[in-house]
Amino acid sequence: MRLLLLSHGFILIGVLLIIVFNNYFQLGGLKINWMLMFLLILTLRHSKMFLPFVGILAGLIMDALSHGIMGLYGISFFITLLLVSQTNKLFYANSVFVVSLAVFTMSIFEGWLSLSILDIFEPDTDKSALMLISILPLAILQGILTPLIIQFVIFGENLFLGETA
Amino acid sequence: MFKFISTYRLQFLILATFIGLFMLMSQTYSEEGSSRFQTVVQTVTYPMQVSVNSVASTFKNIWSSYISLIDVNEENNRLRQQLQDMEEKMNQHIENSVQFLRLRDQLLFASKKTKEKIFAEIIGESADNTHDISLINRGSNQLVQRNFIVIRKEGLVGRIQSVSPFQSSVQLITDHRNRVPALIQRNRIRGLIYGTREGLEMRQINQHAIIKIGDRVISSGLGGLYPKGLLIGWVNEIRHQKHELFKTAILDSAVDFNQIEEVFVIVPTKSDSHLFID
Repeated sequence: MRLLLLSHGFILIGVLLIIVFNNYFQLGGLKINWMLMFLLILTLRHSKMFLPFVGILAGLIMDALSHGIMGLYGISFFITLLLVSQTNKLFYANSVFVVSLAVFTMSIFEGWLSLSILDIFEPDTDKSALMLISILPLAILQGILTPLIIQFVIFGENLFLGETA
Repeated sequence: MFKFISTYRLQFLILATFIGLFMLMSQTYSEEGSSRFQTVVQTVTYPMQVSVNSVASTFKNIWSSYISLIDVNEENNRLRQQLQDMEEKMNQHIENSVQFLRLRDQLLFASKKTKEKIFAEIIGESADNTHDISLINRGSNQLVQRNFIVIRKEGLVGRIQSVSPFQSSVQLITDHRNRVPALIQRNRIRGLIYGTREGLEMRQINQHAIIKIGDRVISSGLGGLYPKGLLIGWVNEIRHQKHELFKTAILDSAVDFNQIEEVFVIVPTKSDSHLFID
């Protein structure tokens, strides 16, 4: 229950960061996907089955704040987090480097998935160019920022989960 | 059957969620206007967007005022020099302007009534990197509707993609999903404007068409969404290979999309029948 509340708290912080941070401070013109980062790290640390479903809410908020095709990021967040929750034993989640690598890989996967879904509706989408120009640099940036986010997530866990963390 | 379902309930739940989301996505994509969830999210985030935007604008104004103070003395001397030159030119222009005013009155009389415009400020951007969307502080409460056209003095900006009571999303013409029927003003050659990450491209131009660098490109009005005659940009580069059926022109956009802070939403008139509000 506490983890569920914590994940919703991270979604709220993610929305705040998207509105405040992404509009005014973009690193290399890239907008960081804060909600996905928080949820990826949480799912890597706690492989709970409800986290992919929380990801749907985050995805729908992301849809509402971007292109307006409701469910596009909902599906891509859901599948990505589902995959992470099922494969997180492959990643040694206490190592910062491996978590960074996992966030990098899963960011690429999520980006590819969302573009593939968009491609169903709009076959004109230049998927390869968007992957190279937008998704790949963002995944690298998110991978680099992961250690910082891990510290923040651990701080949140210590604050809200206490001994259960 | 029940036992089978209860054994694989998690798999069923995942499948049902996936199907539900896909149906939601298909429905949102095909229907006109915003979904309720989007309206709720945009309405909830609106106060935050506006307050963050106003705080940022205040700091920006203070900073730019400070910077301008540093250069003010140097600029003052330069302006004095320019003033002397301008006074000479002014006498000449007064004579020209009398003639201009007379002709303008005639032209205004002849031209149609200008369209009504709603002034709006840009308060945010798309949350992701793959879409060029801007959020403006005018919504359905100010009679803004989906597919209304957004412009600036310099030219075409985009169209309203979704509307909530206090704010709307504008799909910029640089968005990769956007298509604007256009023509080259000089020789009326038609093409289609595509948004790319690098800027604007005019594609599907007849391979025999003669295009020159610097040609003005305007909206053609075909399709009925974008009104005719709105400036889009200028031809900067022409690409064509022998085996290709069409030419592609790379455009310099008339609007600097990195700098825009205010826009106008055009309220359609009776002549724009598909969008007209009675």
